[in-house]
Amino acid sequence: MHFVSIKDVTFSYKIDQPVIKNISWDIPKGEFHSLIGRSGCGKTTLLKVVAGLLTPTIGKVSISNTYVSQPSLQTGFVFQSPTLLEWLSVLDNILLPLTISRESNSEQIELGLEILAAVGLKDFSHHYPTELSGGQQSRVAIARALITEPVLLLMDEPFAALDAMTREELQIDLMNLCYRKGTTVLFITHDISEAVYLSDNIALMHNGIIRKNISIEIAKPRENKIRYQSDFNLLCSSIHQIMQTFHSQDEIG
Amino acid sequence: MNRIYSLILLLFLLTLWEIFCWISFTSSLVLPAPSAVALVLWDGLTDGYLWIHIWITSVEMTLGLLIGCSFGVLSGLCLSENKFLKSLLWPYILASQVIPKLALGPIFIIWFGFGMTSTVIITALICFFPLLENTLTGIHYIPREKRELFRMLGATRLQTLIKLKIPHGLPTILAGVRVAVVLALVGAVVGEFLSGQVGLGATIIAAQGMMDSALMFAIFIIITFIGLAFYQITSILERWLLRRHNAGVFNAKP
Repeated sequence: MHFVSIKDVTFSYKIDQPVIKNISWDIPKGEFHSLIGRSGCGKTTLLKVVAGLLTPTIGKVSISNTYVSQPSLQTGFVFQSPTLLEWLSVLDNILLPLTISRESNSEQIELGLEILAAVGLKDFSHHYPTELSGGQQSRVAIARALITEPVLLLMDEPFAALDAMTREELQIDLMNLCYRKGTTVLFITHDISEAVYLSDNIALMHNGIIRKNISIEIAKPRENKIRYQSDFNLLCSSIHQIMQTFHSQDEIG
Repeated sequence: MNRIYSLILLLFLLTLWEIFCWISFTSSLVLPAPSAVALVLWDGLTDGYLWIHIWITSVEMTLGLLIGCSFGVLSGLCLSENKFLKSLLWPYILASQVIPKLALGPIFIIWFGFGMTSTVIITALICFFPLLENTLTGIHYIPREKRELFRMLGATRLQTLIKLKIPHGLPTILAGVRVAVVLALVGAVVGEFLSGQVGLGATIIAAQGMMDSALMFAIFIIITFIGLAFYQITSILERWLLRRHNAGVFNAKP
């Protein structure tokens, strides 16, 4: 069985109106998988099912051979917005998962500072979230998700609200961090080039169904300049075309 | 600079009022001159006659505020944690709040007698609702993602309450306290109209009996200062409690 195994998962908020249908998806350990699709196609719902925040109506999700029935500290979650607690300093925000599991001690503070340095915010530990820019807040959110050293990181369009340059920087840092630590990632985005740059595998979702899986055969670690090469852009545009086909098939149907 | 203009405006209005009293020959029973009011105020403060009343009203207001606010916040927390309790009790709470509390004064006098207890209870009842309402609102509007974050981290209900709900609701709760402070002064003074033998409200009624308008105006001034002082104390307390919330606001990046 794969590290993350999603088997025939269907989820519906209302009876007979499934948001996601018959999703099966395997993610091997240490791989970076992305899910792309239009807004409202069920991406976030699938992520929440994997996180254990939602219980699937049908089907099962397992992470390292354990069925997911509730959230676990083994799984880190990065939300669409940074969701930092404004009344806590940057360091306290990062240590929050440990404070809640009552593991916070001086060693953990060291670990917190280390992770802060890894996301490039070494000098900001005593700042408050409102003093940070959007990109810095996203970095804190990622650091908070990494502090428990999760085996699986779930990310829900974490960079959607950032400008192109900041987004690029964060993508590079995220990819390097996960590559170094061997973290398995399930990443949601609607940005095709972001998905291609970061991922080993991309699933295309349309109307609650995964319509296609594409594996990205570009060696890691990847340099930033590959984004501007022609085969990279060709790949992006072919994915774009496939998604367009889904949409036009719908209109004909 | 604006303060100086405000002060000049005050002096100008007082002068106008003083001149009006001189030239219109209005009876001092109807409208006492500012100089007469100032004299009564000075005498009342220097010979100590007014201090006991100031003290009693302040104590009633403080006790009423503390009791009303504590119960308001506690009830708000209980109702926000228990949906069933909220749907069960809400119509009754609402009905009890729609009744003007001062209309209950006479029955409180029968139950608790004339004096401080009745006034404190009226004040506390007036302060209760803004705190209940604001606590519920502050906790209700916590973004879903923050709640989900706490679920992801495996927080217990108590941890979520202490580490997320209360700090997140605090600014709204404290806004309720500011409303309650203003209402508490009304509660204490009007409570004394009904049941007091001492206190500023009771003194206004006594002054009315003696047709002493200058004393009434002097008390209005004192009440205004008490209100401002309580409001100021609340603002300082609020700033202290929200020092972390506001930490980055003043030098936030655009």
